[in-house]
Amino acid sequence: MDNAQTSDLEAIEKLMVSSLQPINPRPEFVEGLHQRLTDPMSPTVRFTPRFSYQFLLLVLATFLNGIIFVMTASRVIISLIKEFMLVNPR
Amino acid sequence: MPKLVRNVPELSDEIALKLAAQGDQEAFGILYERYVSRIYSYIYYRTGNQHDAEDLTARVFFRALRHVENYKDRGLPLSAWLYRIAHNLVANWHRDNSRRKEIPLDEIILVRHGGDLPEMVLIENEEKENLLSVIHRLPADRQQLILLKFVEHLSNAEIGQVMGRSEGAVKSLYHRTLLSLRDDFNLILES
Repeated sequence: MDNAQTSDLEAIEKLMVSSLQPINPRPEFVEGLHQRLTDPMSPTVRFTPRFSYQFLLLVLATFLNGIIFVMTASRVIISLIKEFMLVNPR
Repeated sequence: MPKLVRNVPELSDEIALKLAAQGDQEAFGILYERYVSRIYSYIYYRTGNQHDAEDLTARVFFRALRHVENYKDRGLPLSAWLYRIAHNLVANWHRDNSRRKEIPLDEIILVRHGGDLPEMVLIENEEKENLLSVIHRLPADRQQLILLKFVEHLSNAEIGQVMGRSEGAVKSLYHRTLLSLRDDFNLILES
């Protein structure tokens, strides 16, 4: 092999050394996969305490709304029945 | 490499493997932390995109976890075993995606030089893109050899363990690969 060929190969090697650098994975990916491998039973999505608190508040508000709705609806139905009885007495 | 919650103790691969084979998930976690970046990097260069690299990296470690108790019989260093799993999964991935002619390379491969002239950066990036496209056109075993040598900095003997070849065979394959890379690279430059 002559000198020109050798220097060509050296140039390619040099280019590969500078171009082929290790690529690091995303930290979130590394941590997530670690979790899945070592603790498969744990949830893959974790909520922050603030998010959980807001979610509980929403559930509570929905529950109270439901109670108010049921109470209002039952009172309306009772008054309608009473009205019906007054209009059509037996 | 991100810092995980637990510190990685000074535990040899052999002991960690023994513990992992007995069902110690924490020991497997230690091995995972040790090798995840290297396996990811290797797969990233073979697939050319982050999404598939993450998916295949996860599959490598799940497969290793499933078969960790059979590991002893293979007589390979752990890294070689993991690279073999990665190589097989990437080969399957290429087979399944054989219709794709071009492998898109994410921008993160291309280096951004803060102080250099824009023209110089462009030329360097073009050279690098050409090199990566020439590497991607090589047969799978030659791509594997180049990546293990230049990205993972493995010796010829270690590459031989991964590829199931002798050190001499690796050396000879490397030389042939280098010649073919030079010819393909020159063709690109001429065109």
